[in-house]
Amino acid sequence: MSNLNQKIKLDQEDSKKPLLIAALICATILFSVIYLKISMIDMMMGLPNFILFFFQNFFPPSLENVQQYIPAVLDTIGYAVIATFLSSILALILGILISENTNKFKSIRMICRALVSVMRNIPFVIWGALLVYIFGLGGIVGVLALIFVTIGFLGKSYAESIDEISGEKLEALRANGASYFQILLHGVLPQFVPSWINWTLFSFEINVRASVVLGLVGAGGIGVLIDTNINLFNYGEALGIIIVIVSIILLTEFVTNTLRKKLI
Amino acid sequence: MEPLLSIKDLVKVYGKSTRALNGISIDFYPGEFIVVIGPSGAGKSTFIRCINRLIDSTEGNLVFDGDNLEKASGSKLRKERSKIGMIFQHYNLIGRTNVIKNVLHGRLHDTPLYKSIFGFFKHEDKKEAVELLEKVGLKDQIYKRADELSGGQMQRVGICRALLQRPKLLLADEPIASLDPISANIVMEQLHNISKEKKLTCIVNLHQVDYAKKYASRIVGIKKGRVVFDGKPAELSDKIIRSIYEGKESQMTLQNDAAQTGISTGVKEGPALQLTGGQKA
Amino acid sequence: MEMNYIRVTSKGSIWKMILLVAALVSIFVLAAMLINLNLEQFFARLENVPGVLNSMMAIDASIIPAALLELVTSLSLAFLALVVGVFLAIILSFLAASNITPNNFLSSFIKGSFAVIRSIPSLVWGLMVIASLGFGNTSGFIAMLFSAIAYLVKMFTGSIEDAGYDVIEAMRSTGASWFNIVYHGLLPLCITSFVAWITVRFEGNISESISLGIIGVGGIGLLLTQAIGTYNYAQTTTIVIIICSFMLIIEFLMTRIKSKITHGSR
Repeated sequence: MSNLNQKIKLDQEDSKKPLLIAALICATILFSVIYLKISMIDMMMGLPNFILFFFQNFFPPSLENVQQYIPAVLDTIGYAVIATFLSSILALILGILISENTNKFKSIRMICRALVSVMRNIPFVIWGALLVYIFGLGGIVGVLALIFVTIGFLGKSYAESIDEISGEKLEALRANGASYFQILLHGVLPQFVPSWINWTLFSFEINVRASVVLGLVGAGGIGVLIDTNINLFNYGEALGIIIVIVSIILLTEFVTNTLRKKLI
Repeated sequence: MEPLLSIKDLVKVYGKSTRALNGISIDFYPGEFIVVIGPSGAGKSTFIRCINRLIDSTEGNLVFDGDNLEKASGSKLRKERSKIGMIFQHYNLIGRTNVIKNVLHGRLHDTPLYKSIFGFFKHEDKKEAVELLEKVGLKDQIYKRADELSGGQMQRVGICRALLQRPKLLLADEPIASLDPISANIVMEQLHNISKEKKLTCIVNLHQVDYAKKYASRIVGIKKGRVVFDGKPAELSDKIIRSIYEGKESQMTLQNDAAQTGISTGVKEGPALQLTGGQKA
Repeated sequence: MEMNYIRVTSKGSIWKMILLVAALVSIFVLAAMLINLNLEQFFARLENVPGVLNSMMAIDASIIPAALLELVTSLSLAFLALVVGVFLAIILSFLAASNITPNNFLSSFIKGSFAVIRSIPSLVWGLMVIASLGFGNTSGFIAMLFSAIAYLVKMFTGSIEDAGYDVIEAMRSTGASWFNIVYHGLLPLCITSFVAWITVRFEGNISESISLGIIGVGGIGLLLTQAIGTYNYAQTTTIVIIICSFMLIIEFLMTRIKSKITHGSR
């Protein structure tokens, strides 16, 4: 009874853990600010300053030369399409080699997994820069860089989806006396199709964005036009191109979403 | 009479020391309808999967139709497997493929890859598939996707798939455990009638004793990986049943009740229990 | 029907299949013609590749200390942008989620404008910010903030909307205010999925902060650009290896955190 007069805790465990995490986060923030030598004022004023500058200089966008951008826009989309096609096929092969359901050789699984991991974990701009370094400037480099990155992303996603197909269903085909490739084609692939469509459409969205950016490192497409215009202080022109890019990306998202609903 | 399948000292050890099968020796003869009963975890599922080598046994001898099964591998194993049909608890159909293709999967073992990809199966195979589907009352559904069917319908497709292998032996692992009582009756009835008609040997895992007594020509009781009963249904006394399910009686009674209600509802449906089965099951 | 041909696939689905394949092939061909790749030039350059790769098979250990310091810069930038981004995104998401928004017009406005902000790649933001604030860490921070907030707002609103109306209704019936519902009802409900999205975004932020080096923001990306610019093969290889292994570690850690919060412990 006397207990009622004591403080009643709302949590059973003592709440030291959240406090510890909060302290850790604060310490890291402090460290980051000091390490980066960002002054707090700069940081706080950075956003308003930028927004002010944006409206003063970038506005209004100049859309007079839109027609000149059309070839670059088409290139950008073209790179993304080609890269998505090729990498969805290559990644399917890798996905089959990575999944335990379809490949029982552990060593091959590990090698493929490592390969895909490396491809995925190097940021695509770095891939672009490296490939430009090796092959020189040009559209093919852009497509190659996109393929590298997309294989990294899709290989992992495909493998996970193939893993999710229940082994039970494939067991039935084994009991029928089907060969490995028959199990693959009649058991694994039909069940995999929805995730295949889903992931591939998703990777197309990513590829369109990446394809825009790759222009900045000299891999062709519309990205380079932004850089050039900003360097020439043609801010209005640059914003015009950015608006074009935004429309492409929003349109892509709309198209993939529609396809997704239709196909699955 | 020569046994169709002769099993000697079958042992399966999982991991280091989990003995799922503890030395099973048994012979099965052509035309028998054998029901294997036992509580869950007794090793029924492992036993039936060792027969067609979906699970490799640790020790033991398997002679099927004059061939040594435990040594077969690669295409030889696939050939032997094709002579053994199998039906699964969860049907294991390829959901996004249509019904007739699922049934034709039963013929993959003698259809070359390049033909099966494009659906070029032999006419006689396709004809037999359609006939089998007609027999189980699914003729109207042959182009439907398998995942659009009800559980009972899926299991009947599973039966057709196994039968299209033209097997000598039919294995069924808990074929009715995931079905409602009415569908379960239809499926058991069809399984029993078809195997009788085709003079097939059947080994069926069940945990419902009532169904076992109703359909089996021979009952095998498994407990802790050993055969503890082997005889005619009439010889299976309540005392023996209790000793098989010892420690897991709740399982037995519960499932008994379910089976009983199942059978009584099934009787009401009387005529629907014919070969064609109920459409709506 | 005895000797008639028996279809295995119904007529309709065969046509659908043919149509689909035809559409896919024609899109591919169209795209290939459109971008008009110069394959000859590509294959001509292919001959140089073994040479370049050969010279890249070297490691320059002297760059490692500098690279690690710059790596900490990239990491700090990513972290700062994440913390501020999460803070702002949580506020914005509760204003934008359709089930709790104080004002439908506000909700559509936030969702719409962040859809636009999200569709501008972070490197493009980087270019614009650098144009206005000059090179440096602050620019990197601001540029990353945009994409981080935009991403998190989308994901957070999704999680909040998944929570539905039940809890909100129940709390409203007790007379709780908007803030009360958010703080005591929705936040505890959504926090797990929030953390999951934050881990995903942290990976993305790090990858972006490394990439931003390419356009002149500090960090290890800048070091790599310099190495590439001076044709220093050994340094390039070393830095790429450092980046890759660092990203692998981060991916491993984030996966651990994600599985820990989704599979219990709470």
